[in-house]
Amino acid sequence: MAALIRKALEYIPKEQLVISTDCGFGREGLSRRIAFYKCVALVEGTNIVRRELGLPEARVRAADPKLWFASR
Amino acid sequence: MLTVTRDMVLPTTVTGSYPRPLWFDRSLEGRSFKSALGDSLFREQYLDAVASIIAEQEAAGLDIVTDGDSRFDLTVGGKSWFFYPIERLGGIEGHRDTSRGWMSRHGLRPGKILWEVQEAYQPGVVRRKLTRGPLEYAELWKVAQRMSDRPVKFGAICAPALASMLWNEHYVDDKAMILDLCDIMNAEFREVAAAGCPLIQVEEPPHHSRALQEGTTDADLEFQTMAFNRQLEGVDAEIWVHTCWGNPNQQRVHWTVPSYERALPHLLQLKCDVLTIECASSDGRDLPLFKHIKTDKKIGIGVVNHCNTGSNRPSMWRR
Repeated sequence: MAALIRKALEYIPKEQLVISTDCGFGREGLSRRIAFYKCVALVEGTNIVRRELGLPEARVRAADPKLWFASR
Repeated sequence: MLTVTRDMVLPTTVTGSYPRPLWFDRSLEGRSFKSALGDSLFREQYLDAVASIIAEQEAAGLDIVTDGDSRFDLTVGGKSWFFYPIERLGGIEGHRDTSRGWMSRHGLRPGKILWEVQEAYQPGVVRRKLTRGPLEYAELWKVAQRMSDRPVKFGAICAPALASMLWNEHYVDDKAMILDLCDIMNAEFREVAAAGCPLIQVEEPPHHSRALQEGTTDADLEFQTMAFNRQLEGVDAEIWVHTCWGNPNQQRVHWTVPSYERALPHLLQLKCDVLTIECASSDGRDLPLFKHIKTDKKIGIGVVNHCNTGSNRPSMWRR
C-alpha cells in the first residue's frame, strides 16, 4: 500500500494526491470485519508515507496497543 | 470547487459502500427514506447502522467518512446502486429480463456468478417522460453528517450510468433519455449541496468502459462528457468523480485489468475537483500516464482492492 502511494508520488504531486479504495465494499460480498481492517490498513499505509514526507500522521485508534487487552 | 481537501495532503477515505451489520435486516424496499424513518424498527436499525459504520471509519483514522450507502437494500450484487433511483423516479414501469449489453459481454452465461447478478437486476422500462422522485439525497446526507464532525462524503450513481440499466421506450433516442436523467440528477445534487453537503461524489462516468468497446468514437465520449457535466451545472460543493472497473458482488468484470489510457483525457474534462481511479488491482500500472498530463484536479488512487478478502498490509511491497 505504501509502495503504491510512493509510486503515485513519482507522477502526481503530494498536494494533488488523495488516498482511497478501488471501489466500495458492497453490502454482502465482504464481511464488515474485513472492510474495517482494509480501512485500518489504508490509513496505516498512508501514515508510513506521511512519516517519510514529514507530514502529520492520522491517529488510528484501532491500532493503538493501549486500547487492546490482549497481550503477547 | 475544492474546499474540504483543498489544504489536506494525502487525505484518506473509502469509496462509499460498507458491509451491512448482520442485524441490519430491514430495507427501504421502494419506500421514501423520510417515510421509512417513521417505521420504528427501520429507524433504529438505520440510524444505528450508519453510526456504527461511521464509528468504524473514524476508529480506522479516515479523514473523510461515508454513510456506507446504507440506504441501499440488501439486494443481489449491489443492485440498489442502480435501483435506488430507478424504484423512485417517475416514468419507469415494468422491467425486462435482460440487462442492456451486459449479458452479451464478458463471456457471461449460466454458471457464472455475474449471470446470476444480471438476472437479478431486472432493468426498468421507461414508458413516459422521466420525472423526479423521492431520492432524498439531502436528507440522507444530513442524517449521516449529524453523527460525525468529520466531513461526510455523499455518493450516488451518475445519470449516464443509470441509463445503462433502463430500456428506453419513450424517448426518440437514448441520448434524449440521458439528458433528461442528467437534469433530474442535477436538481438532486443541487439540493444536497444547498443542504450543506461539502463533498459530493458522482459515480461511474461511462467513459473508461465505453472506451474499451469496439466502435466507440471520440464523439461518443464527448457526448458523455457533455451529459455528465450537465448534471453538475451549478452544484456548489467539492465534486469527486469515482471510476472503477466494476464491482457487482465484489467480482471482477474484466479478468485482465484494463487501462484508462484512452479514456483519461476525456475523464479529465469532467467538471470535478477530484478524479479517482482504480489502482490497487493493477498495481498502479496506469500511474505513469500522469507523467505528461497537467491537471489542476486532485487524483484519488485506490490502494485497497475491493475484490479480495485479504485486509492488505500497510507496508506490503508491490509485486
